[in-house]
Amino acid sequence: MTTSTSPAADAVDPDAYLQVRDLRVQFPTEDGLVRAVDGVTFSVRRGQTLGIVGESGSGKSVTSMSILGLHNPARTKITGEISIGGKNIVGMKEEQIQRLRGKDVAMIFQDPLSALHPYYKVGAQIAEAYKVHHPSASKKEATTRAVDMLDRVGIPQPQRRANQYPHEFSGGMRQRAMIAMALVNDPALLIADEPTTALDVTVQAQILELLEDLQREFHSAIIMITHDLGVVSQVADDVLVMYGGRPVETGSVEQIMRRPQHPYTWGLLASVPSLHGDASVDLVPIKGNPPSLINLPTGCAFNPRCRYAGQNGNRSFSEVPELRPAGEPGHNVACHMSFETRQRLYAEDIAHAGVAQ
Amino acid sequence: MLRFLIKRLLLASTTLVAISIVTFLLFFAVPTSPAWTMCGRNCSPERIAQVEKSLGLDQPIHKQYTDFVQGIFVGRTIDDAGTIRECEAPCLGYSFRSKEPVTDTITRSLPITLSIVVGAMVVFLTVGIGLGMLAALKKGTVFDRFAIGASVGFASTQTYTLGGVLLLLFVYTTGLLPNPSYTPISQDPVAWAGGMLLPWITLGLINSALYARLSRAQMIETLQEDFVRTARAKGLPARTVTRRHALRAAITPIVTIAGVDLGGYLGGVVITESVFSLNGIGREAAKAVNDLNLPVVMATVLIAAFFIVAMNIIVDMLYAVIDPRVRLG
Amino acid sequence: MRRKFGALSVGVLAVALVASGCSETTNSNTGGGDQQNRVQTGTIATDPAESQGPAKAVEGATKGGTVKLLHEAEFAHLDPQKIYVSDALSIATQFARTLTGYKEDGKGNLKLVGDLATNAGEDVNGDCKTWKYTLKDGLKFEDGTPITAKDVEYGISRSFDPDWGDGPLYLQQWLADKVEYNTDYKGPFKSAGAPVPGVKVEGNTITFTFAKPRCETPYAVAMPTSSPVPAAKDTKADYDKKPVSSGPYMIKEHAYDQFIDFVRNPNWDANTDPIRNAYPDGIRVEFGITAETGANRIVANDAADQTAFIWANVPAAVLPKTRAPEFAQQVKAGPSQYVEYTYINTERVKDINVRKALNLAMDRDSIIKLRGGVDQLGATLMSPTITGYQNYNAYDGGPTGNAEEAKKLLGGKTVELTYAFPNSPVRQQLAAKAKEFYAKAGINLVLTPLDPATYYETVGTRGHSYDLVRGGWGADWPSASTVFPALFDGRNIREKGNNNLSYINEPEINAELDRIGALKVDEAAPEWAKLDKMIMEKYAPVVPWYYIGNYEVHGSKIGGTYLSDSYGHMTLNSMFVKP
Repeated sequence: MTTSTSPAADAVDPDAYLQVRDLRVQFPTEDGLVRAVDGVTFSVRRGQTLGIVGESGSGKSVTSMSILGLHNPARTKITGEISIGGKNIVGMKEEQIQRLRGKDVAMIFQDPLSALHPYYKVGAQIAEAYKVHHPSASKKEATTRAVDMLDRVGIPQPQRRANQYPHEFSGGMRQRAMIAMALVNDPALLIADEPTTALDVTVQAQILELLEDLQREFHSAIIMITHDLGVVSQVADDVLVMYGGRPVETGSVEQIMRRPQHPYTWGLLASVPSLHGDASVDLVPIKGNPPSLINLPTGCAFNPRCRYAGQNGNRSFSEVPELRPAGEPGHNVACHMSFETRQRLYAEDIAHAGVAQ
Repeated sequence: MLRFLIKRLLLASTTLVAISIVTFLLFFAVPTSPAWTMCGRNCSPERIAQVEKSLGLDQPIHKQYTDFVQGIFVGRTIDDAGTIRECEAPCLGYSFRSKEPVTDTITRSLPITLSIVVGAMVVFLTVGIGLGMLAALKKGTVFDRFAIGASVGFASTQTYTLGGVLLLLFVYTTGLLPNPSYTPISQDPVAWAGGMLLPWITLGLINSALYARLSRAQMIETLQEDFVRTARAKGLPARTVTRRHALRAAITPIVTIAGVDLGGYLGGVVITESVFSLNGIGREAAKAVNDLNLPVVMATVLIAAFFIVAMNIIVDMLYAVIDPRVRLG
Repeated sequence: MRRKFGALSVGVLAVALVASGCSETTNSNTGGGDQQNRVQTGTIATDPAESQGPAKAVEGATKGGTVKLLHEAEFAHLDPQKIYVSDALSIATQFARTLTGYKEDGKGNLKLVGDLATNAGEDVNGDCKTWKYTLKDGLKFEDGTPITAKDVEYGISRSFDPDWGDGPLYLQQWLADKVEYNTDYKGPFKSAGAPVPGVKVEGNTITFTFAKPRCETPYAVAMPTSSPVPAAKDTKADYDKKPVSSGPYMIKEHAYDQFIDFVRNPNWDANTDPIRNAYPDGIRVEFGITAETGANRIVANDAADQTAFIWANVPAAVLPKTRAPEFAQQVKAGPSQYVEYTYINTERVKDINVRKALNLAMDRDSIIKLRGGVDQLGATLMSPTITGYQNYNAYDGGPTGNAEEAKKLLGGKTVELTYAFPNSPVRQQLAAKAKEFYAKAGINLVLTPLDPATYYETVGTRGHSYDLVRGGWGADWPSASTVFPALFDGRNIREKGNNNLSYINEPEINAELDRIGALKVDEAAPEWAKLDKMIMEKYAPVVPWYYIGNYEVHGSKIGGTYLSDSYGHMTLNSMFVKP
């Protein structure tokens, strides 16, 4: 996987299954124009997992929704390119996108209880997803397929479970069912939007393992959207860190976790409990709140929350930093500070805290 | 389900008994005697006493109440000014104004109210829910604004205002619509519908407005639900998403409100009945209150209460059918 | 005597309360306000030929069609012995014939003639104590059985039942010669087999014998008290819903509170009837239609409503629409037998000058305007429809009253008086207006609205705390004998249920009441008029407000009708449907 700042579209891997170039998503509202995503470029190959990390409002979920073409075209302005299996879906007709949805690209949502329809049986909901892309399949075939999928995701007594309603499932079981539904059409790309956030820790691990197993089996590309770097470190191959609708740092999971370059990434890492570090070290949350997407701070969007803003004169407050190579190949960061300064600050202020070793 | 039903039926009977007692007591709290309105012009105190005796008003209240209750279950004998009458169960009493068992008054006026309400309901459920759903799907468009504007307008209109204007416009001035009147549907369905048209339109429009706003709000809320997004993410066509996934969920609370409304309306739509000169159960009740005609007051209050209680039970059961998460117990 | 039932005009009852009583219909279709006051010419027919059928044909009238009465509330009663309210009295003329009846020409000429009887009554000994009535031949009930004097006697006997007593009480009280008329004889159910006091039946004659002279017997038996009832078909309490017809129409179907369908009675013989033409084939009464709706429908002239009419005053909201010149022939307007009063409680307001000042400062003009203009200016106790009526104003302050003169009369002091009235929007408006114009005369009214349901109960109880009391009265027949004794005989004041709301008890008035009451009808008339003036000039116990007007409308295809001088509504006797 490769990422780069716009307009470096050539940095996108031309063989990747999903290629996103300079994606911009804007919602005109009464209060002003919401720039939910403001120039994102990335790609994912089949069999690979991309973690998109950021707080809520960073644009990660909007990005994933755009890949499914779920935004209402009447109320959303989308520019750039989203190429799925070689087809650009930006500007594509709804009927065509609809045929891709659920078949080529599928999605798993954060809260399986609200994401599943409360009035329909689980089996029927899965069968419906199968049938819409296999119109010639009989109802019985669709049902059989649904039960198979439930079995595949590790739900015991799938035949019986298929006849139950979502509220009769436990949280983990529901997410398994959700995954079964997403995978029922063997999609090439699976987007998982915070799939484990609503689950307790032990179940989290099981679900992540399940996703990894299934990825191996189906050889699908996965986009894992999360605010949890722990999850990213467990499953991702590459990572895209977003802030205020823009990418602030990209790289391999190893680069991002071990040698993070952006103060925001540092902040994210500092707010995650380390499995290996010093338990006595306090967690440090990032001060302040995510910015308004209507009224981004001028210059670097992160400047109000950045301890180091002002290190380079006025630049942080006047100039939007571009995503630039951060030393190692594939590692890019959007920060006005020089590579050396970042290295020094990381070594002095962050690394000794022992996070994410 | 059975346990639920038994429990609710018990609760319902308790409610009805309580309501009947309260009505009874309220009636006797009124400082004037119904005899005054019943004995006509030559009211000497002696005659008032006579009339009160024949109405059974000289009996203690609890005796009068138990007589009333006894009438409902086993029937009773009533002395109407020297004429002995058998009032068979269910005897809701004997109306001394119309010289008949109250059940006759009810069976005569209830079909009128029923006709008004059921017809109006068809109008406001189809028009109201239809418009509301469409407006929700076309949220923010000119259609949506127009529909919401119109519904605010109609919802803030009173039955007597709108009814009066429609009467003036379509009956008195242009003669486009027939005069509101009641013909039994069994006798002449066309005349029945013709005579009910204006009440249906009036009650229908006003409630359509309420239902349009309600269903629009419900639908907009439902369209933002995660499961609707899931349905779309599955690749379902927009129509399937709307109908099978969104509508089904959005309609549930509307069914509840419609059911409760129906229960309320069946007890009488006094203003509509009055505006269109239809002698439904609501008008009968208002008249009875005016005349201090206790048996009719009791009967209409109890019937109104019965419909409300019954519809509540039905709605709860319906809810359980629609929403598998609801368990009755 | 009938109390103007206005006090009870809460909702549904309102229509039944509309004025009954005589009215002059002098073709005054000009839209209210300017009807002429003509002196009532009602007399008792002396020529038996006038009692013979058939009724004089109406020019241009045709038979057939159905007329439709749009009515607010179900009739209080249909049982002839219980009927007393004007709308029921008016409908009863078509199914309940009486010994005598009013023959009218619509031009103000009203004559009391024999209806079932061959004449208006035979004063056997010339002392008004024995009255004899002979029934005509060929009279039949709707089922074909002949109507006999026994049936008339049976009808009268029913009116004695102690559980009933909703109808007029004149005949019963005269026959029993006491106010509590049913203490001994209690009617055919409770005193089965006992003779009816004072009544004798021989063949086809019925004779009434009274202890005292009762010169107005011919009027008293014009009320449905004297209507025949076949004992074999008496359904007692249920008779009220479907009485057996002796008139030209009978009830085919009666859905209580909904409608009544009257059809022709095949056994009615026009040749026995000097009063009714019976042109329409049917009469349909529809209930639950307010005067406003009814008037609107008639003005709208929809085909179905072209043969409709109302027996209620057109409400103010619809009045302007009925004042178009082309609509004039569909309006029937005129004065009623009712006069609107403010009774002055003379047990509380003892100062005659205050009473006079109240009369002098009375602004009738603004009150009539406030009510829409269908009523008439008047300051007498009697309505102009009563025989012998003389117009005068004992305290003439002009149409708008004379506050200055009133002030002088009070000698500069201000007076505070409580004014009781039934609480309703209209009454509140009128009371506020009265407070306004009386204030100019230095009279401060304290307005005390009372519960309409118990209004007469309250103000009819002696010793209540109100100085002024709203009220009204209408005569049962065109004679002041049904007005003055009821309102001004102080010897009848009791603890409760008083009609003498001025609580006046003056020996001079009482004596005059006795003297005039014993005179023959023709002689009594001018004497009543003199008493009217004397009471007002000497005692001023009342402020007469105005003569209550009637203002009714009918559909464009109805002809031949006029405001009846007997019961105040448009008559059905000569009504016909235009082809």
